[in-house]
Amino acid sequence: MSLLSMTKTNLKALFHGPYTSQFPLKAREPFANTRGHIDCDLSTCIFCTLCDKKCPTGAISVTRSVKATDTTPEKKGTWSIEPLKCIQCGYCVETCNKNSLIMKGECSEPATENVR
Amino acid sequence: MSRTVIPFGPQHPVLPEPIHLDLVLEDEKVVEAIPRIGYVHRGLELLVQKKDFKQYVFVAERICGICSFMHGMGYCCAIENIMDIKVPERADFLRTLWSELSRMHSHMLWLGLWADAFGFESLFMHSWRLREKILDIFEQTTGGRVIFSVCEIGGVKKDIDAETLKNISSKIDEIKKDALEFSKVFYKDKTVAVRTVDVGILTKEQAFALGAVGPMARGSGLSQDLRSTGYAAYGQVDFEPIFETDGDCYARTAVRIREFFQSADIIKQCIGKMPEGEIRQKVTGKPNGEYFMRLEQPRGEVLYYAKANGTDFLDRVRVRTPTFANIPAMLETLKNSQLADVPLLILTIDPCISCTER
Repeated sequence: MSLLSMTKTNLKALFHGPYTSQFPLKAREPFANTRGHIDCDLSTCIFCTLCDKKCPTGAISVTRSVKATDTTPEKKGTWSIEPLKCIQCGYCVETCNKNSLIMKGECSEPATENVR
Repeated sequence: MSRTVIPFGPQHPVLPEPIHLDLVLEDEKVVEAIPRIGYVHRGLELLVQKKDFKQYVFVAERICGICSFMHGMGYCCAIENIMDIKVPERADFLRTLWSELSRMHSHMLWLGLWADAFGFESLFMHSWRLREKILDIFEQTTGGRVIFSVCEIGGVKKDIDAETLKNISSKIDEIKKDALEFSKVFYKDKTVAVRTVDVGILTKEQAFALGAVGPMARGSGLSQDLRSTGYAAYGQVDFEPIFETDGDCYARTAVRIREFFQSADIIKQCIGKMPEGEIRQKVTGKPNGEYFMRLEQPRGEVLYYAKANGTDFLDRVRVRTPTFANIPAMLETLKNSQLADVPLLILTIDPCISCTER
């Protein structure tokens, strides 16, 4: 048994400098696989509501227009996601037939709608 | 001598999660401990009747934030057995790799908390610094740091390319080198030994009779490790269950440290033996039947029971988690202990209360 078994580690740490990253001076880049937030490309979305049905937390809501004359993305329907409900599981991205949903690496902005 | 009952928890500096114990004391000696759980019950088992059997994988993963991958995997294995799905071999190896990485980060987390509990702050920080490197490997390969969402019924969702596997292998070597340096502190430092040697002794007979699992049982000389049954790719890697015979806190620490290095070896073996091929099997139809799945988590054996009825929604999922199984053993170690050792004896089972209460 020894009383100085930590000496080597402590000395190394003394000359190593900080182990933590110097945020915000040096921001951490997300990995290519990082699940940050979901984004929808409305120009290709056909508002089929599949992501709405499959989402395990019910974070996505999709409405589609019933009028055949509505052809522009704004009129075809609406797609929205509640950031606080989304668990970034990526299930919607998998189920999207048109590949309109994309998992972005950056985390979403803080939700401020409930801030008073 | 007169007895005093003092409440311990649910909020206490040593407890990351809430559990309450009524400690019956004679002077400073604990004569009995009466547990009370249920502070973080979330009703996750009932959710199986509201989420379809594919969506429930994400719920199962959230039973625990530390061994989340193995919870998802346990549920997936149960459903795969009910539906008679053969998982591709590469998926089995990837599951084994992520399971062992989970074991490494869980043990490193525990070692840090353990060091913190006996007041060794710098050891705590170095342990968690090392754990960050493992979490980075997770983020790089799965996209998440603690909840991975890569396990699915029929295989896994993400593959790891050869170059990344090579990088993981070299990172594991670095982690091993770092861990070897300060694991000696747990083994050899006098201050650590004073707090852990001959504290909380659980004999082999007691461990068996009380149904202890995982490092708690293996620290008492019971050589039981569910990985030996060969689920996933464990049948194709070489390893022997690690056990110690002293049954005290020091022995349980030694088991976890040795398992940390064993997991690193298993990961290296998985990378070396990783077969080429598919990673997911297409799932058709609905499950109908029931199955018990047993896995070895970092804290011990977890049991998944699933009962399906041929529809999208299962009748029942029951999870018996290792912490739940270890609570009687923990109460046994608390008997006749000193009040000052109670935090250590609670931590010695590596308690995960959110697992226990689900």
